[in-house]
Amino acid sequence: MKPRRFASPLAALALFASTISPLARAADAPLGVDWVSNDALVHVESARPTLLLDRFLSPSFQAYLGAIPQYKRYIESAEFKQQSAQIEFVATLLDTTWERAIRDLAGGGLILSAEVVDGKPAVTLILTPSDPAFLAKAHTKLLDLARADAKGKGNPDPIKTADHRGITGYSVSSEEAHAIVRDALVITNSPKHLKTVIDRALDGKPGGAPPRELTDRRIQAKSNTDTIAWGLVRLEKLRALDPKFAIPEKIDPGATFLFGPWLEAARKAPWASAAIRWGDVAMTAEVELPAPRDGYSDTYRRYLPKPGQGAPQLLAPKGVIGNFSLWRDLASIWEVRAEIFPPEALQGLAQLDSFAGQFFGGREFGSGVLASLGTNWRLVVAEQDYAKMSPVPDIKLPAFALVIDTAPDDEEFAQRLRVAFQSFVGLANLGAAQEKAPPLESGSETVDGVTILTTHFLSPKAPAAKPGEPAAQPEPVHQRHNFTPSAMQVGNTFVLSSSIGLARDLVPLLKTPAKSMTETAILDVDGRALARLVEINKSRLVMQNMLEKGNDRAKAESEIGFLEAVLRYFSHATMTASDANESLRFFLKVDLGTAK
Amino acid sequence: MNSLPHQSDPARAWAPYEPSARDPWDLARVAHLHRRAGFAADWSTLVRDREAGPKAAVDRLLDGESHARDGQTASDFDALLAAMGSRLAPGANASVIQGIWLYRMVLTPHPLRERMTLFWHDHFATSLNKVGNAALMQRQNDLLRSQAIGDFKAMLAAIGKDPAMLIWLDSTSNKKAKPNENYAREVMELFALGRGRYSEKDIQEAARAFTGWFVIRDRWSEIPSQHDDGPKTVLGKTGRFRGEDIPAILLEQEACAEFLCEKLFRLFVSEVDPAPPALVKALAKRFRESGYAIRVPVETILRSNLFHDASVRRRRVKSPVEYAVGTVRALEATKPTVSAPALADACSRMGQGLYTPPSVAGWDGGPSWINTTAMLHRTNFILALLGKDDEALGGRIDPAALAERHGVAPLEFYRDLLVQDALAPAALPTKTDARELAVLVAASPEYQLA
Repeated sequence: MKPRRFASPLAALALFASTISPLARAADAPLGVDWVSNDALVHVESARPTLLLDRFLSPSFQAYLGAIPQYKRYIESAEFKQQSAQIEFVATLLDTTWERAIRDLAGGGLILSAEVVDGKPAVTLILTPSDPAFLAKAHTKLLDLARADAKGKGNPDPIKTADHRGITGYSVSSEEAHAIVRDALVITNSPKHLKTVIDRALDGKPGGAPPRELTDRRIQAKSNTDTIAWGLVRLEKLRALDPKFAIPEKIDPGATFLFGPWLEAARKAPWASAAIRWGDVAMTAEVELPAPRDGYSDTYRRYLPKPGQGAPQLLAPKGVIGNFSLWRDLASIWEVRAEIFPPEALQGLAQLDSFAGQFFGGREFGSGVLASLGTNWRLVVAEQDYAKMSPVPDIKLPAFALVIDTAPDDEEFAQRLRVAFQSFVGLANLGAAQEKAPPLESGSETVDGVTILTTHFLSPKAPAAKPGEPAAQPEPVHQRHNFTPSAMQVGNTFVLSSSIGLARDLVPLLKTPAKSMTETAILDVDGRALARLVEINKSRLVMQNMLEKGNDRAKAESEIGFLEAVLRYFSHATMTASDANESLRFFLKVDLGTAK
Repeated sequence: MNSLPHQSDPARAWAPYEPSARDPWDLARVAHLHRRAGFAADWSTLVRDREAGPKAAVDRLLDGESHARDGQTASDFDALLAAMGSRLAPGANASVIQGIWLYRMVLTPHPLRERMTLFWHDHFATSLNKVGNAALMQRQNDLLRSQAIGDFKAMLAAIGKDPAMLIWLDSTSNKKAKPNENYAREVMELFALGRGRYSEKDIQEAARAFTGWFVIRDRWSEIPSQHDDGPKTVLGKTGRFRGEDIPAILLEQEACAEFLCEKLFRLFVSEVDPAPPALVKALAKRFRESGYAIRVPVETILRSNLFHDASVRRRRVKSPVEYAVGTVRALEATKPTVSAPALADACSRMGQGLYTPPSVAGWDGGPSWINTTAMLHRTNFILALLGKDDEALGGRIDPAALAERHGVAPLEFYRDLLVQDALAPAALPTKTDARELAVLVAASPEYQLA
């Protein structure tokens, strides 16, 4: 992080003075934290808002922006130049630069609060300058400009003023009122609310010490120097204010199946907090919700890992693009399906039960199949060695593999899985015959003592050229040739892979049992690998863009180039969900690279 | 009742039109030319061609423009579309291949070529639904385009070996022991002569000539051992004919050129009035004498007195593709243009799914394009195109700005651009916004006609 620069020794002194202000406020909280309600609907706080400017202006981020064609065009546009000129004009009047002005005006912190007073929103924005003298000067200058402009146009003075307990309030419309209070700029959405804020500043606000959820978050923000801002939303109040914010008990069955306890927490949590951090090499975002006060219901408790359990560790085969790892006890959830799913979904599950029985030797789906599958689920996506493919498909797709743990003492089930794979291949070939598509040829190979059941599509054959005639133009190879479906059992882990190459690469990684992580779910994506995938399919993606969006070639190439640059810049992303007794946390971390 | 002028005077009918005080080269005539010979023109093209005169306007349609609507040179545009088509996987779905063609139609520098390719697609109707291979359909489309205003002899010869056509007609296996009559029947009835101009025996004999022709692994192949090398008699000619000999025999028939010229007459002149035999015969004579150069009858028609007579305007119903592509081009929704798959879906909903004609006879056309459901879909298309809500089709046109850019008041602009003299000024509200005006005109009954 860059060292904080002050506009002048005076500004530094002012900031220091504000930090040791006699007004009671939490350590390192921006000035004005006691001027807003403790139980505001929305509370956003930034002790170091200029950090955002630092990051935005950092050479690496500017280089990234420079690689985006749309941004370059915007910078070179007349519209941008006109806006820049206006900003520069105002900055020149104030004897500063726009960057310096922002730092001087907001360098001491920022608070945004939205309360509900008498059923109406009362919004407060408090900006603490690092240079209070600059704030006073800028404020006076801008008022003078507005008045002069109005006068030049023959209009009345647009600024209304009123004094409240010795502090002058200004208003340019009925929906705005502001004042400089204790060297900070306070902007509200009504004169009445401005008076309330001034009263709080002078008298101290009612309601006592801030609640723990606020102080804890403030301390966390302070402990991380990369924190740009954090905020807290009172979900209870939001739900009471507008029922559309309440998540209904019955929603899409798929969402319930995937996110059951998290939806339950969102339905019942009194608040949710979020924090955003931006460091030199990574950007993170964190969202936290308290667990329901009376705990999860028996149904949703089945989704939560027991102590010491969690999602299995990620797999990192060669060329990995993405990884999804999940702890989920499907057998236990299957027992309470009637409480989770609506009747029409249950009918589908009954069919699945019957269908699965045919493939798994008459086993009951819940107790016979899901119970034998364990709780560790992993999905791995990886690049393929396209150069070694034969034939090389025109659209190059990644390989993916589903990795599932199986019950260690159920060898018959492992055998059933292998047979089920062969049955699916047979069914696929029947369908292919009807569609005149090439069939899958089955085989097997052994890698490091592990037998892999393999399949591959028969290669298309070009007709032989007749004597004296040129060879026929080869047709694009169908995307199906990206797939060589394979299955294998490594110890207690069953793998269903779209590609033999990925299956081979997973064998050594699966020889060691997976460790349990502390999170319930982990999603990990490599942006650079994705960017490579975009690059090798670029011409096709450009054409697709032209057809689907109606763009010309230059615009389509620009949009695909932008996608590639974004993926390269956000070089690696990890998202996790953790269920603890007291709270649910979602965490996103994006490693930053360069656009090229 | 036939109301066409010059019915019994072919020389006068097909003589080149010369502008006069009574029949001036005006906006209505320029717009008529583009409606029939392309997909409707934008304002700049109408104004340019009005200034240039009929000869230059027809020349440009026959030879194509130098640049496509997206700004690329014509050759670069053709190369781009060829690359798109060549990369179609056999299993690509209908909206992809339809979208590629519609994208080409919207931006093409050669609207007459695309208009004629669409005509031949209807003439040699083949459906992806049965062929099941988008790459083969694209190859057939490329063949039709390559000869769209070229050599009918070459096109007829090539279509007989086109895998998509042979799969469509269940003619992938033609053995000596059991000649397959499907292609022989269709080539006479639908492609070259028309019903009643051949006998059942002619079909059987021609089918013997086609024995030995197969489609193997999606390619046309010939197996000599399966060819019936015996003598055959087809349309009065006898010999040891092979499949390649049949098109020449068909083209020697006077009925062949007449059959095709009658269809061209319906395409360019009128689908309401029966084609007068004297006019068709005169046109067919030129066609035959040219060695079946398609450009000859097309050019004759487009330059003729008959074509430019005011009475033949709006004697056709626009097909959904003409309607949709023409509107997109006329309203300059070209940079960016609309989503091609969405345009394909819109055309299908209006009743014309490209590459999926309903039968070997193609689309019924004419009044069958217009029914309550089709009209609802046409109106919905216009509303989507001129609105802002539909991401795939809308948000690309600002009707007020478009009229202003060309320096014409909205009322005059949308009437003159889209319907010209077909709508009296009093038929349109004077005080309404440009978007509403454009919708009113484009959804009017008059605009449904070509």
